[in-house]
Amino acid sequence: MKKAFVFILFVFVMIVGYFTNAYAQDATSSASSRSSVTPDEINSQKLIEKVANKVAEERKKNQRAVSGVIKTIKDNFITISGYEGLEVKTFQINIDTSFNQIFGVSTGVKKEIKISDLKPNNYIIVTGPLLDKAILANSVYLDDRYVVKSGTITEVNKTNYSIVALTPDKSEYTIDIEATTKQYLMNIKTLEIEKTGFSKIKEGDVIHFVGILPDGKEPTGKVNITGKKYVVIPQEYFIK
Amino acid sequence: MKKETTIAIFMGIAFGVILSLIMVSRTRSKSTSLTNKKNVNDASQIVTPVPQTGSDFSFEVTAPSNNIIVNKNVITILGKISANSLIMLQSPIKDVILNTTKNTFSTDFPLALGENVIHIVVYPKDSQYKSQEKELRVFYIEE
Repeated sequence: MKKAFVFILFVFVMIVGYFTNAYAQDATSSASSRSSVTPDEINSQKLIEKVANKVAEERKKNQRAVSGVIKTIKDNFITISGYEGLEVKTFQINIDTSFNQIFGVSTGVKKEIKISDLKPNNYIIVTGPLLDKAILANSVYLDDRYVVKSGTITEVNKTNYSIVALTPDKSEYTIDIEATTKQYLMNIKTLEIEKTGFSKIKEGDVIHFVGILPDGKEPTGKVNITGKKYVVIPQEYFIK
Repeated sequence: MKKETTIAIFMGIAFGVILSLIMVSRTRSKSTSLTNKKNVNDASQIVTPVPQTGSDFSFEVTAPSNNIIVNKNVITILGKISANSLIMLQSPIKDVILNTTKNTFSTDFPLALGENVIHIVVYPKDSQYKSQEKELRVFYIEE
């Protein structure tokens, strides 16, 4: 009898202990949730502020950056063709001209421009929350479309000052060398980058180049670009 | 009440309290491990490992992730490579050559406003392996 009483008491205390713990947790969470939704505790101004802050937070949290070529411009809506991963996708950009500022950055200096300055085939960078394929723009930048690649020099044309490079993806780039093109060579002993001239490069060397893709052109297949700069690694470096 | 009964009640209460404490601590450790797991998942979203392509020679950019948006004009690029490789990093505004004896690399790289295409090529010391390249897009946007 005594043993049975002790056993029942033990089970009772265990159950009470468990439920006390569970209730304490529930009470804490329900109290905290009640405090955030009780209408008495918030006035309408605070609610508006909260909603505004939340919206701003969400816009920032879901912010994505997309770059691409302008296909169409209609009122405040711009369609661009850009990349999502390796896939080409079309994105719809909504620009609120009373809120958004558009900048040109191609010269290296940030300059405010108007939406009317944007034209089809321009390359733009847009940031903002992305929903499906639509972006409500936070910022818009007009820039040059740079190609940054490397490959083996297959031709050095000293008549019209151009270099042909074959990249690992089998694209063939013809790089027009202009007076403003910066030309560098890696010193194979010191591994320092040094200024060089067009006459010092030769077929078989490896070239790392940056060029500007003309508006409306695609960076695959046979491509002509305006050389902005290049760094050549002489083939002798690889012969050891 | 008999002495034995009092002891039994006391022991029962004590056991119940101990059991409650154990359950509370277990609940806390479970929630902590879940939080840690979530943090690990978050970290894996930030750092995108880049897969190797077709050789034993390893090259991986561990940070930053591709298409990241930053509000500073410099970023630290981290990666894993085979030791004694030559690394060339190039963007429209900067060229960097690194020759490292370690199997990791780290370099601060300047950014231009807008989109930054950073082309990274690694040339292994052992000429039996082909060079490998990655392209990284980093968006520097002023707030």
